[in-house]
Amino acid sequence: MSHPPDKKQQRYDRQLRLWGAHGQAALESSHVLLINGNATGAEILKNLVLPGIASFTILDPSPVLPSDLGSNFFVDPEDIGKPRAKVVAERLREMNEDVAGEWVGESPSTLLSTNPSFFLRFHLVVLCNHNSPGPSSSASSTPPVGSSTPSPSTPTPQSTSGLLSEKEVAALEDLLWERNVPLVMVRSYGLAGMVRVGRKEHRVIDPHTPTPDLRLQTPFPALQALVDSVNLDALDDHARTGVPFVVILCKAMEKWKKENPTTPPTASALKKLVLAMSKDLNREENFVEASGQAYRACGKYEIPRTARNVLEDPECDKVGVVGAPPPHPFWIVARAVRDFAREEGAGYLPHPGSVPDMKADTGKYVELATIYRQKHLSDLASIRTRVASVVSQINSLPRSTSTSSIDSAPPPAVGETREWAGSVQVKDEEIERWCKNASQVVVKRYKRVKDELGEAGVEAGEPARHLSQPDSPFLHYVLLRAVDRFRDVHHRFPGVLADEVEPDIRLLKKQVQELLKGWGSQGVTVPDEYVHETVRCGAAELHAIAALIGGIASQECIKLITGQYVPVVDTFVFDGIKSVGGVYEL
Amino acid sequence: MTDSGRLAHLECALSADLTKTLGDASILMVGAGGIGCELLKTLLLSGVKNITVVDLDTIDLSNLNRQFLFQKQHISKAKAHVARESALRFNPEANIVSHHANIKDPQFDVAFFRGFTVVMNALDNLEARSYVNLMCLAADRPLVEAGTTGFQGQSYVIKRRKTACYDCLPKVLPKTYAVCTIRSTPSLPIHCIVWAKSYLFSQLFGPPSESEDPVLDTREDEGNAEEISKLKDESEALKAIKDAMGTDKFPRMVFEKVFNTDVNRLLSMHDMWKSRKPPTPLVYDELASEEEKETQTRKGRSKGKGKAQKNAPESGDRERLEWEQKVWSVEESVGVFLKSLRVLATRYQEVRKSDPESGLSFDKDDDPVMDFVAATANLRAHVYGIPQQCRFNTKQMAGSIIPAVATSNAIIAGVMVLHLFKLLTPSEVPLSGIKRATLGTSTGRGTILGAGSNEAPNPVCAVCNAGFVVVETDVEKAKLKDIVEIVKGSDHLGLKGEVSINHKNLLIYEDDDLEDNVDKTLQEVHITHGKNLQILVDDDDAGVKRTVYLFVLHRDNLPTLFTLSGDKGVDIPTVASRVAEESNNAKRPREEGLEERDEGTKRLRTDGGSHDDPIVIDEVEDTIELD
Ligand SMILES: [Zn+2]
Repeated sequence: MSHPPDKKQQRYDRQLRLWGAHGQAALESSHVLLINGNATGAEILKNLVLPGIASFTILDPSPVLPSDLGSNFFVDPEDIGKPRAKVVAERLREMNEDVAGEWVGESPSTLLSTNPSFFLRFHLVVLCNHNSPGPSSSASSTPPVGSSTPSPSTPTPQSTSGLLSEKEVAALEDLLWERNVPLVMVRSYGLAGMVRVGRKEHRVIDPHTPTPDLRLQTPFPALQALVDSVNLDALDDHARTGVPFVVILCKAMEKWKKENPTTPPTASALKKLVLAMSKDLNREENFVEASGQAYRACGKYEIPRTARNVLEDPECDKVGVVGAPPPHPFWIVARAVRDFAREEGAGYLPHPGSVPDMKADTGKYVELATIYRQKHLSDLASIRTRVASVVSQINSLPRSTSTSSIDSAPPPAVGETREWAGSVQVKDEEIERWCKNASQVVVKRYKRVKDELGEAGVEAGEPARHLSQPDSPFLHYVLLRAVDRFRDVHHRFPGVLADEVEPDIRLLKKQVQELLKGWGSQGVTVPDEYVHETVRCGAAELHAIAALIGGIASQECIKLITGQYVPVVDTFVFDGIKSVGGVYEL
Repeated sequence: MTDSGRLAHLECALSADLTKTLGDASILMVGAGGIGCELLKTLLLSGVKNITVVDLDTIDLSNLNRQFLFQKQHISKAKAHVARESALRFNPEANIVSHHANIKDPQFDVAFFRGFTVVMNALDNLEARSYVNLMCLAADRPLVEAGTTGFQGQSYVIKRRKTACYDCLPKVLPKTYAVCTIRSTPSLPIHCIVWAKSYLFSQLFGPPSESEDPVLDTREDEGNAEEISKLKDESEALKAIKDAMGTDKFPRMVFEKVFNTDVNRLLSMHDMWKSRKPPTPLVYDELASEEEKETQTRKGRSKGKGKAQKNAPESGDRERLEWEQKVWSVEESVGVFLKSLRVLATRYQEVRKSDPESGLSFDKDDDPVMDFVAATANLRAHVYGIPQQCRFNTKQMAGSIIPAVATSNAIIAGVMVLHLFKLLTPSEVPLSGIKRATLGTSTGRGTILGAGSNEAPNPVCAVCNAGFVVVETDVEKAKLKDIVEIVKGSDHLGLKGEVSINHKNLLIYEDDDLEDNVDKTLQEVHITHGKNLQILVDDDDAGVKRTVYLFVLHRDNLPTLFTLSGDKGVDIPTVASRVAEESNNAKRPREEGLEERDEGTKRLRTDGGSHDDPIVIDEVEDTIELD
């Protein structure tokens, strides 16, 4: 064949169509840390290595255990006893020679206390805080029953080594939080699983939710001139069928205003008027199309809520303030867009420049498309000027000794360039992307686990409300949290010892109750059969669940890295028995 | 590692019974592409030991961003075999059989399908899905259906007479374009791309017998006839130019004909341009580079002297990617157009040396072909004042490319195996408990993986509301009248009413019509091993109709003329004649396309296209000639 075997754009063609060159560049410069190379973790990295991240590091002190063989595709029987991080990293590297892979065989909990800066070398951290225990231990290897603090002579079962306690997870979260590094926490446990996304501030310029911006309520001068140049009554039958619906709707609005100077039309009234304006609805399909779009011309234009929230965000006000830390480029553009809308856009955002397809003749359609494009370019030029003046103003301010409150140290957020010690810069490409997507931009601030639910002022009724839904997947979130607390106390997972199932059920129930109490949700419970099921599965990591949950987690990682699409807010929980998933904002 | 050790976690989390059933089960996996790679891995790690994989595709570079069982050294090898070998490396104990073949081949007959416990589809196109659906109905085996598009996907279970089948819901067909839009009044980039790909490319380089591209709507109505005849005239003129192929003046001749002469001729039809912006012809001497012009006049190719035009970057990933994602200037498009024409002309003449009836076919991943289509479409867009597209976008529209990533395939394969767990649970999970899973592009608080209830069979579905009977017979001995006897005879199906027999929508027998055929053997009417007959039985007296699908298995040396299995006469469902008439147009579509999806993909779907992942299914096979 004609293609040399080494072309990235060919290899990545199918995904470039989802996130474009910009998203791909972000992936190709991102460094990802995986804590624990269990089946779920290996699946996540597989789905990130294939599309071509820059590099990954696996942090895992565990050797390959027999239990890994049944669920982790990337380990072989002869690997038993070898460092799991090494084995998995080597296998993953084989899949894409453009991706670098490293492994560190240290304990995450030790690293966290001795060398926390290790965790700050990455753009994204994935925590798979779970290890499938081996085949049911025989009675002889059973640690003392009920001992909540095993004596030093009783080694902690290997299956839980490398795992972080609830406190340590909170410490890791705080560490990453300060530098705005996203943390994705993932669990596959029996037939249940969850993915939780956390980040102090996540900004999305391109969520891929475009809506047409036609300016029908208040046509800008060039559009008005085009509308004025068309005289529907003077056109012959053929020419009438070529008039774009945008022009028809503007004409209908003018007619309405003339006839009803004081009352604006309802969508259905305008629709009727448009249909009445047609000479022959069978032939004039463009009038039918216009009637279907009539609602777009009615009501007052408003900036969509999420975008408005961004423009009204306090971060916008801080831009250019003396003594404030240097703002992130996102907020500099946001400020410019806000000022543009207030001062010269008459409440409108910069025009995205695109027009939807419509029934129209070539000439008129092209003319219309050109008008919107010109509008976009002139708005863009204005935003550029505004950004430039804000940037020069910021750079002339006495340099604040404190760095930005967010993303305050390397690595810079992916896909953005900034000189940390030097002056503030905004890439032209970022201004352009902003202007094309101004009505869609989203900023999401997540919560830390320690701040979730009742503890941070969310109505205490929240968990109760989720739990009152029969068979809510949220039950599994409660159970997974309870399992972690169980493990922190008993240094093993519930149900892993054949002769401890009944006591474990009792102990796990206790953890569930305490958890609910902590959320201020007394009076609600988790049904017994769910507790039994959780204990019965013996903490097994099933590959089907690992693949599914790992797939979802890696998809969220891609959203976080590319800054495109909106990542889950904030926790996805899956119940594999009922095959139902739920998303919860905790 | 012993088996029991490997399976301990399964026995624990599922049950010992289910683990055993999974180990004993035999799974047919159709497709070893994006979903297939993931599915094979997930099945093996879920205690499934016996898997047969069928895929007719070979590995392409663009597969490697998600099909993780394949690596660079596997490019051009058979997907089915490489998937098997890669999976065995990780799990040598598994029993995997691979076929590099089309699932529609006669070797994969009803008996083959009956050999499996469950069939799992990892296919990319409607036609193959429809076919496997029918075979599973015939063999009475549950089918786990699945598909992905970008970040979206779905999976559900199909079980005969318990759930809707794949064809119970009508499918959206690919969009077609009127000839006049493509030929003389394009208004959108896609019109120019369709013209470049389906008209100019196939006229110049397609095999001579290549039929009209189905994307062009050639139904003769509303003045279409006139357009089509004009199109034919132009084709004749183009043929004359083709004779100059291989000479240095060929690229210039094509350029001047399609972007100048033809445009001027259109311009001369003044009526057309009264209310439309007229097109602007392109002038070769103004647009071609000096180097190009020299090539046209002098013998031999001059290389890189003087002010050479910038060529497409050949290597250097970043540079090439940028070049593909920017809109070319008209001069650049002209350069790419002329250069690709020369490359394709040389290739065309080479393939014709070995086979005068052959030609080149459109392949979106073949760079010179795609360069030609992108440049042609842009020049035409320029002529008509339509916005031009970058090569990257043109490729998406011309190639009906469906975006694909590893993540959604992994998720959907996981769901499929959860479906399998439920299908094989000894205490039989009610089908209502096996939800239809839909993976959406999650946006913040929206659901990522939704569960919907499985739909009931559509009572007027032409595919599943039928009887399924298998006949084993010697096709050289059995005659059509024996088939009629099978349908009507009281020892067999015993159905009353008028019988008509079809194969692939072609009528081969009807009571009171085509009766001459009754004495023909099945072989003589091309009904051979693995084929199926669609038999309609119209019982006027009772006011009901029945449909029977009869699957033919050829057997030598049978003790009797035929043996039957499958549905008995009483099992065959009826449709009230009146209802049957009304739903007559609910026939299953033949073309490829996509299923219902939200937003983003609608645009893609209009051009047809494929799910992950490519399995090319041959065009409709032999047509039956009755002489
Ligand atoms: Zn059906």
